[in-house]
Amino acid sequence: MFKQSIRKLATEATSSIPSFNIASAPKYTLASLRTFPSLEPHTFVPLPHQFFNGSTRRDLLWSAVVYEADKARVGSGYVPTKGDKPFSNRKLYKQKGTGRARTGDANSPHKDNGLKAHGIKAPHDWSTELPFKIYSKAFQAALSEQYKNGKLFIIGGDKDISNEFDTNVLDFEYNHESVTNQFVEKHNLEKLNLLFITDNQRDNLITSTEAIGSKASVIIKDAVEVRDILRANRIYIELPALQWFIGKYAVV
Amino acid sequence: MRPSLISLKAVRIPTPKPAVVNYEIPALSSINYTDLPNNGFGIKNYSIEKTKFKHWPVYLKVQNTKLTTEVKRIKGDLAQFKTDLLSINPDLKITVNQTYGYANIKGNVVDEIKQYFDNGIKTDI
Repeated sequence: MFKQSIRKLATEATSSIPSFNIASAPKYTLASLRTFPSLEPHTFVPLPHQFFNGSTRRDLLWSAVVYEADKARVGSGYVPTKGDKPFSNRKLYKQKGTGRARTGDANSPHKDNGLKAHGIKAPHDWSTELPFKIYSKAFQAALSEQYKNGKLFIIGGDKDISNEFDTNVLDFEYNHESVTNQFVEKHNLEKLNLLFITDNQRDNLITSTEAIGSKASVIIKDAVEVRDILRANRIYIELPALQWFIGKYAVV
Repeated sequence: MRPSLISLKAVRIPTPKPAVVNYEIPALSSINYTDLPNNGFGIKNYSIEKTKFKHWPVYLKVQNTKLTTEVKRIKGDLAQFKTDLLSINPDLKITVNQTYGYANIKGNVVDEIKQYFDNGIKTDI
């Protein structure tokens, strides 16, 4: 009986190199540049992918927020101890002959006098440390989160805008409170936390947004924290300020 | 009093921090569509970047007597990465973390994994 066999001699060269399905990750995101206060988009710019389409790393955001909250603590807690001497140095009663236990002065922490044996003393530094790369990644995650939810508006561009009321700068034409009220009304921003991140000080914006009190905060770029970005419902940021952020917090 | 070396060592002069350089936005025309999101990345494919010093991000993790090989900096589809590694060496015990882009392999196989990467991944460097 024949034993049927398949011809096993190679007719085609198979490479022994293992194959990995490597592809290149996206590098840029297109962001629309808008005018202010109409928020009309007029052009696109490519911006780094990790700042606008990065993953939401909740662990890094948590670390960064804790770091900032620790840094913000004043450390003014002060507990009076024996060393503060709120009472007299006088010996309460004589050493011998009373039949009671020996005593010193009234400053002892075991007496009912509000003094503690070991108390915290002001000023106290509560600040903790966080690697800058971790903080930078948290910053990227915070911006990405807001951008992906459509809450980040970038103001800027080189083009001349034909409309006389619109500018490329994140500032109002006038400093009157009604300007902010109009802006809020037009874009349906009632009861929302607004964050304006500017490149330099914008006086009209600061004065005008006092109309809505704590619902709007105007912060110059170098004072912005991760907490501010996460807290806001809408963020309006100038393009130069954004470029500064990307320059500062870019981590490979 | 003679100046002592010990006290001089304690004097630290703070070096000024370099000024932040603003990011330069590239021209829109210089961007290829493959550089943008939705270019098919992450669907049955992934990327592994080399480190700043051009090494593969493959490390040995020692936890007492437990040795684990950790592969970091993987972006994209980590399940596919696991499948690909297993197709080369079916004996590997691999766990992956999709969120953070890590793969952990049981035992010390650092050199072996680096060898696979050298042979199988083309890089510019």
